Amino acid sequence: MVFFDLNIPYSEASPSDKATRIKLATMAMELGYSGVAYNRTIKGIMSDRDRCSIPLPTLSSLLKLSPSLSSSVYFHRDLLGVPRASPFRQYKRLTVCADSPSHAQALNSGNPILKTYDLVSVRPLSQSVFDQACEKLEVDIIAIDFSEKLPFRLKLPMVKAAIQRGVYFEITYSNLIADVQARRQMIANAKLLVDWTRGKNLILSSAALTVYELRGPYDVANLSFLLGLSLERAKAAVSKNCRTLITKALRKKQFHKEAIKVEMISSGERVESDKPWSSDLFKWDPISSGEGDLLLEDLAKSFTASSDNAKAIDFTSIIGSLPSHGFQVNDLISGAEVASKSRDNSKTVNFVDKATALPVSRDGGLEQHSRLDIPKRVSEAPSKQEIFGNRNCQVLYSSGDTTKVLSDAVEIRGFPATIKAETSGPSQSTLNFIRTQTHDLQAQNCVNNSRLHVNLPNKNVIDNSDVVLDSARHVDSKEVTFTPSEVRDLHAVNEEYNLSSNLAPEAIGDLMDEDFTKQEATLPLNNFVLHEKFMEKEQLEEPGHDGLDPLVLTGQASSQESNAIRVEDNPSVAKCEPADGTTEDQKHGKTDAEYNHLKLAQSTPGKSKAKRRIPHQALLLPLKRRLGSSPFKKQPRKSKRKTKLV
Amino acid sequence: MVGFKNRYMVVEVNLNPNRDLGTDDPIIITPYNITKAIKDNILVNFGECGLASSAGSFQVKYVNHITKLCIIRASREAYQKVWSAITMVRSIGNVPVVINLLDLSGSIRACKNAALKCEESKFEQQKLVVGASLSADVSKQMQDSLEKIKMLEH
Repeated sequence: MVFFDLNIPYSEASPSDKATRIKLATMAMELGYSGVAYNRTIKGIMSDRDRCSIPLPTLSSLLKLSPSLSSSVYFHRDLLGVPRASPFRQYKRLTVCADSPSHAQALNSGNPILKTYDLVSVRPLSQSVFDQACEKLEVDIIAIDFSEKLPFRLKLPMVKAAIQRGVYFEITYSNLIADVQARRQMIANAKLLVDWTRGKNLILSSAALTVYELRGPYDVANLSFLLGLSLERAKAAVSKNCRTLITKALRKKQFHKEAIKVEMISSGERVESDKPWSSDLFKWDPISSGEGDLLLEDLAKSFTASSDNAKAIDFTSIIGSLPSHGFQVNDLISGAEVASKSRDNSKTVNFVDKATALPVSRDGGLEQHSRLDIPKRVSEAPSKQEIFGNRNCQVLYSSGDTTKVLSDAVEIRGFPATIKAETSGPSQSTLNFIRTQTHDLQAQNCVNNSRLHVNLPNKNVIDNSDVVLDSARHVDSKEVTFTPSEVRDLHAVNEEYNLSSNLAPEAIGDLMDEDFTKQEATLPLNNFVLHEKFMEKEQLEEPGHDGLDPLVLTGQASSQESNAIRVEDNPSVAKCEPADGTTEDQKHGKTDAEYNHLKLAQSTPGKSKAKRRIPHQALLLPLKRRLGSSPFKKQPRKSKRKTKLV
Repeated sequence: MVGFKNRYMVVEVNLNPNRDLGTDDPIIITPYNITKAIKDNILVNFGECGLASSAGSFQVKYVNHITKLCIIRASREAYQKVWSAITMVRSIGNVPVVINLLDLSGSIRACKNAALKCEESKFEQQKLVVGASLSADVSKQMQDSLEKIKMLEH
């Protein structure tokens, strides 16, 4: 949540203006706002003199006024939930008072004067100008002075047209505070607009002439309760709407056709002279992110970038740290136990428009704990007790259809799940899954991929050996078919398969988590906790996101068998860091774009039981939130935290 | 059946938003003068009925004149009115002030926690502004008021 006050009046004429303006900016900053816009109002014909000449106060001037600024700012930001590090932004805004259509003509997209300001608004003083402003003038904001009798009538179709175009209406609150007479007039007038817009495309700003009229963001939001705005919408009017407005306006200004950013080549030099405040501001202080003048789009980008980074870091670092992390074995079974960790594989698949069928057979990953002295496994898992064998093996066997291998970015994360498997029961699981792939892989993914590939061969070898060693265990094949209707659809399939001997039940938990995201690869961390209790079940975790019904599980019971599945719950496992092997398959088969088939073939001699349940919703919940979110919000941050936790 | 509920607001009174004054306070805020200022405002903005409907629960529970923090209680039905009135307070006595809400909570316990936190950081700020010359007397008063917050009920 960031709060803005997009109307701090600026007037060239009065000499005391500068001091007042600095005071206002200081105060706004202290109250927890993240940005202000200095508003210059002009009347009559626009001339070249009206080019933007608003000097932005520097941080030093603010500090001079209030030496303890930072502590106060932090205090309020913490209370408001604004990130401390977010920079304080200043914008330049022009308001044109237009009383005739001819004046309003100046507000067109070709006008170079308008381009010197960040935001452009119009104050209509007649009916025709108001209509024009709603329908076609090239402005960001329609600022109506509600404290006087309106010189025109608000018309619903016009208001709707304006909302359609994305023009914002501004309501200023300083008159509400300052003057009893104006208050009456204002509430009466503004109520109509609020009713019609229902809080959409509405911003609240101060237009405070003195610091006594400036109020904190929540106070402002509550004040609009008088206008009939619900608190939630009012908050949006102070924060979200403003942000959207700024984003949009700046995009219009700086981007060619709102898509291509145009920058000076010598950007560093130039930007500083353009925006003198930023340099000082950012050199100074703790408040700033230190990345220089971040425009809002950049901010959004950096958010996403940072979140990507975080993920990337997770991958590599976690891989390294995997063994050390909590591998805890329950001593429940004294016999030969193999605590195997199965990784939960989370795959982020970038979709290609075309569907590809990818059969992958995976060894369910068995990590063996050498602790229990299992000869075969021990040999594989060298000296350490805590080394787990690598489980992510991808044996790709091409089913009949799979032909081509295309670039497919699959990131698989293994989660440490502690599983006790008997030595005697070798488990091999074959997974066939078909997924859709996307062409655009992001650079980071590629990096990950390369690393993974390097790692893979060894693993495969090992796994293969396991496979060979293991008697074929058989197969409980399941098809999981899900259709991700939304782009970000997370699909976690948890499969635990188990070796069948009843005497020594083994549980191998394999959690597969597949995350399909079209855009950026956001990798969900899966929290996976196995229950200590003895269960004969197969757990399928299917968090359907966004209320979609992603999974249709059709358990094709092949030879169903006694699955004695023991899942053991290590509380500590929850704390384990997600181990991840990131592996990438690049295979392109044919498939439906929308379907992912996950086949897990397990052979287990014995009894078969398959049950589903969705355990640990709470743990999965963060994933959901993360996936569903737009990158703009706090989510990246949150997710970062989450990764740490996990 | 829903019982009667209160809302507790932790507000800060900014006596010197214009920063043209020294460190001396132009007025010492007390529960009395704050109550009066707010009630006057409720009367102006919401009339007799508004005042009467909020008066049942409205109370300034706590005022700290060092950190300028107050706790104000209002009924849940009327708290938005009271809050708006607080927002629109322009002066206490003859001194122009700005009152700013810091926290809003539904129980006195949550309110106490928030208030203690705010007190702490406000006092830190205070120390920063005044410098090292904070008298023992002030510290003592501060301790007393913290105790007072802890003692608050309802």
